[in-house]
Amino acid sequence: MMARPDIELGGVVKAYHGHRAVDGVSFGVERGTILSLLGPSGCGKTTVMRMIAGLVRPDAGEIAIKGQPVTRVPVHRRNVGMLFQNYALFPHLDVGGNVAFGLEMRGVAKADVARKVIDALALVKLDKLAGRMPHQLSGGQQQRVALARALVVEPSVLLLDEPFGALDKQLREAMQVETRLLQRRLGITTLMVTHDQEEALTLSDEVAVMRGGRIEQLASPTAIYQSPTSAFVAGFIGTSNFLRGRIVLRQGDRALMESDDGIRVTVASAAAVGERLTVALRPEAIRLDLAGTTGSGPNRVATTIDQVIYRGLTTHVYLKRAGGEPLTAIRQNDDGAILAGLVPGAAVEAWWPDERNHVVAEDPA
Amino acid sequence: MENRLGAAALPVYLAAGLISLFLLVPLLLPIALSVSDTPFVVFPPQGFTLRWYVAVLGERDFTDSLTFSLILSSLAALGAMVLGTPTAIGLTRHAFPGRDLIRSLVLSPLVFPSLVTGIALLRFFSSIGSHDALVNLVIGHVLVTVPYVVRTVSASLIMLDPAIEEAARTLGASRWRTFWHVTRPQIVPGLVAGGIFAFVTSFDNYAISMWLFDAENVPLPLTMFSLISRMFDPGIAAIASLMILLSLVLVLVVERVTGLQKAMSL
Repeated sequence: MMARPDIELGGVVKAYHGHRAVDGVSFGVERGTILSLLGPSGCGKTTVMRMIAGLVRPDAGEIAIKGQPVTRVPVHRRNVGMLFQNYALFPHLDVGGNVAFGLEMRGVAKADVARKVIDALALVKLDKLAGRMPHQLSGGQQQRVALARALVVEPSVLLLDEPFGALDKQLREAMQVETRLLQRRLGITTLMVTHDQEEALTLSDEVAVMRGGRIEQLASPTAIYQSPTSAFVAGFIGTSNFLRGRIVLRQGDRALMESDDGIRVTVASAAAVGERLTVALRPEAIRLDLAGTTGSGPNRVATTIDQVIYRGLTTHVYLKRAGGEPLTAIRQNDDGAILAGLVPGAAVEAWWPDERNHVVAEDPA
Repeated sequence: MENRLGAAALPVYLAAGLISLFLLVPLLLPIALSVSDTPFVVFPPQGFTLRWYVAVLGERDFTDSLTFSLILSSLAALGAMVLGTPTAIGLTRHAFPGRDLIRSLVLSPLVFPSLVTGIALLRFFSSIGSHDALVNLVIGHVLVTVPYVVRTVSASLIMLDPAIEEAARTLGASRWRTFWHVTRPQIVPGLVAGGIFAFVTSFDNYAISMWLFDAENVPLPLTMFSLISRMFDPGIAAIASLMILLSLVLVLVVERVTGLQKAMSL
């Protein structure tokens, strides 16, 4: 039998001034895993996390931590470890005092407090800085202190609120890896809120993409990227070309769709002839033939190169079709060189394998 | 230090110097007069003596009144701190209907003529039969000094990141323990500054005191006023100098604790 998830939400709703910031959210975070709530600002992800922490009271729905309903339990009795965006260290306490705070609030004996503080600081490699004040620390060090402070009380779950947003790129990546390793080692169930898709994909076992107070899709990072179920997810995680059109032919479990601007693509869909669909196509799926028209059939189109942008590892090629409709392709660079012949104005044939066509749900708007 | 003013430097320094002079001369004058070795206040002062200070400190009217004022102002400052701190927390941390109205009411003694407040209080106290002058004076002074504490404590609270209190709550601290262990240490500088402003304001108050004092309870400003009308020697300048000194010490304390600019801002 599967154990119950460590964090469970059922039908959670929170409205501010009549606007539903969180509109019926349900999900679970399995023991020992990291789940990321990912979405644009204002999608309700932070409110969801604050409700789990107990800092915001839901209007409806139930929240359980480790199988215990906590919806009506005050913050200080929920035993959650939370990492705040700007670390929120206590400015009047030194590093040791910051880490000891949670233990002191729990009435842990003095000798044990000292030992646990040292252990927690060793865990984040800051045991030498116990006497420093927060303002004497770098951003990365403050982050580690905040992490040690949250972990030392052995919380039931760990909540990370945009934890790496304030760090510069190099340090952010280092801290992400470190946090992930630490989380694995301790096996602590973790919920992270972020607007950074790369961060969500790198760190999480599962990603929940949120939009307008609802979860749009919840899946593993690979599934979210490879099989987005909605146009919003396909556009928010990475980039996608969207082809909108009608089914013109059916054959078994496959169908041929013709987009409104005349591209024919084959899709795996049970939709009937005449039905409207939206297909998302990743730019990196698109191959470019410089020789001009080399074949006919679906999943290919004649284009002209509009713009070429070199990005080091990849080259972004902005294509234009006969009618001016844009199509974006991303090609990997061999040995850092742009593929020969990719110059604006050149005619190229764009084609892609049919398994890269993904039918997505259109926005309800 | 780099001079960013360039060609405009001279006029700016000149203006700054003149303004400083304008502010300082009235304060320095009594000090100069107070050491004049003459039986009357004369200008320019002649000679040097501290005997007026000795004389003033031997004057019962003055010392009794000084003691009374120190007690009165301490109680007023204490009252203002006790009432002002929760008021500031309520006004900055909680949104509720009528908050702006209440804030305006609490801060209104800053702009309301205290002479009028004094008369109103006098009528109020006599109508409820409160005849203890010390109690009446403390209440009146708390009323006009509370805004200072509310302002300085609010300023400290606004600078305190609410996430810090939330962090304390997630770490297992109840609301009260969060206030005591996290919020309180952050607002102490503002509270001390507000308390000192309250003390100085109360110590200096004339307009309220003149309605509420009685023969046994005479605050210092009232005593000084009556001394001026019957004293012609530099002793009166010595009293003024002592009060300037006291204010200066308190201002320096505020500067050390919070920084004046920070304490005054809101």
